[in-house]
Amino acid sequence: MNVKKLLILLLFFSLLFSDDSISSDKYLFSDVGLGYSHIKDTGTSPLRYHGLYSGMKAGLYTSNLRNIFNVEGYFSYTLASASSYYILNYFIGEISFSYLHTLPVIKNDNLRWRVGGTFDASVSGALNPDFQNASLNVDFLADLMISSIFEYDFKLSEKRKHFLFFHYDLPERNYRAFFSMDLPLIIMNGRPEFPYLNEEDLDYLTRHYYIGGFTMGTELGLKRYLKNGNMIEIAYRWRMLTSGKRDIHLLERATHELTTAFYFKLN
Amino acid sequence: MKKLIQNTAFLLGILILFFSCERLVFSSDPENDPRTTFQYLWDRVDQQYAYFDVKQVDWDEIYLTYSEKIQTGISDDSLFSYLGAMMNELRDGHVNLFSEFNMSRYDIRLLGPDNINFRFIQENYLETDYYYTGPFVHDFIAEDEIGYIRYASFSNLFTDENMMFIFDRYKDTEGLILDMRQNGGGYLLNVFKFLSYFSMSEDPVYTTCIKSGPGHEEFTEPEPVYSTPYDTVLHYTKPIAVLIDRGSYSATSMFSLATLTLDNVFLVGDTTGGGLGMPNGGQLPNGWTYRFSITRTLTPDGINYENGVPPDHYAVLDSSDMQQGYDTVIETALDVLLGR
Repeated sequence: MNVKKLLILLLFFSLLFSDDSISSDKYLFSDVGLGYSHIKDTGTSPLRYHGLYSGMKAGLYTSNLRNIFNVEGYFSYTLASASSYYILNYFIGEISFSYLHTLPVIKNDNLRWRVGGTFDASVSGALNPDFQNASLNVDFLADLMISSIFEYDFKLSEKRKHFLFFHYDLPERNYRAFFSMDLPLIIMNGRPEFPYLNEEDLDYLTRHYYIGGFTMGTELGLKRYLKNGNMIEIAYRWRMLTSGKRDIHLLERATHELTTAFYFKLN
Repeated sequence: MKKLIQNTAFLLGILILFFSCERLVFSSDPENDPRTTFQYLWDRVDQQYAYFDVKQVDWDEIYLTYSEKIQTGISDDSLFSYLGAMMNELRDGHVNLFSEFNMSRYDIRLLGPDNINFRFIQENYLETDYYYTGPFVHDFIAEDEIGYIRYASFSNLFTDENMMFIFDRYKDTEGLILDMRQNGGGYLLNVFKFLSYFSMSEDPVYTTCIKSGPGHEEFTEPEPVYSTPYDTVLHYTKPIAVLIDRGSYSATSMFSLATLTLDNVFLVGDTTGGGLGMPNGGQLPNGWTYRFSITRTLTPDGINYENGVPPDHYAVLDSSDMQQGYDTVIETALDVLLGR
């Protein structure tokens, strides 16, 4: 049994025996991010396009001490350039489901390590009008990832602060710092056939489908619990993808994004 | 607090580690030098261009000819001239190289005479009260027995209402002339739309295949392409002459090719310019862009007219005819339509 199969089995059993009897906090959340992205698709250009990245997502986040369940929709847009005047417009739409279970290996009530899986399905589109019949390309990607997250809960105690002639009190604040990482188990790609072609009658589902490539993502962030139970979050998110050697034309993209999110507590 | 700082430092360390992954996993970017650019362009054409067979170009020989000219340090202008000249060896109007300062091109129109003078047609056939309906210029000619319709570009969109007006106006004529001389092409969508008013055929109008691999003869299986009739009642079924010349290129050549399957349509004029493939674009390591055809279009019985669709009745403008007020191509079409 190889490592991937073992990890899938672990994920399956962690889902099967997860205990949902303890109460969970449910949040509706939305976040916006801004950052930098670079994209290289050798089907149309050997150059790496660099540009401004913006993204937004919304979803449902359920968490307790034992597990996390997250479902979210995500959309991003990148405006990038590789040379003086050729502009690439790049869009990604994605839905994602993840489940993580707390592993009882850390003997610290404030620190948790959760491991589970994430399923992503995305459609990305690249539009560069200078490429004639190759100006528009659509890619499909679905992947199953091993996800893990370290969470550390801490408090900052009440403090009296001074600024010039002003004195004010900072109340006690509750925080959760986290670092998450997603690593690929299976990646299913739908990429263009030998030539890129987008004519009026082209069926976009006719793609070169294969399993391969590599993707991963990490996120480092801080959540602050508000008095009313809601949360705000700031995070740094990094994601990368390469379509791998089985692709006819290599696609590589990476994003570095600063995000801010608001979590609205539902229960 | 000390613990928090330690943990944060640890997490930041991990983050930096994964930043480095990006550089480790991603491929290196190409050099921006003349040799790399030349090699890249030559490879792309070699692997993806669809018409080496009909153009009868030895691309390996072209490599040897141009490779020795591309030296490190040559100016952008010189590099562009060499690469543009290399592309023009394909003798294809769909082949271009684009930079900030120039665009290389192979002008197919120059292979034949300029076969239309619209001012002459206005003065001798249409006079001043002809109609403009959408992109179409049209009127009765030959003592109102024939409808003359000029469509100058397949890039110009038209509506069903435009076509219905024209059909209604000329329904009692003996025939139509569709003048597509110097129509350099446009949207393929318009080809099928235009064709749908003239064709009742359920048979394929042509087949198309796409490059499927790097070999010169690696193509997908030919896929038949159909034209769906616009309406089963509103059709012009009398004889139609389509006027063509070397400037009838790309989508107009497609239209001309498709009419070969229609019994009531015939071609008059000079051979079209060809350009039956879909031009596909891309970028070079130095940032310039290019385009060339990556599909092959054949008649349903497998004939490749990339070098031009020949007319059924050859005619080019004759200066002695013009001195008498005759457009030789229109007159040839009228001779056939009216049985003169």
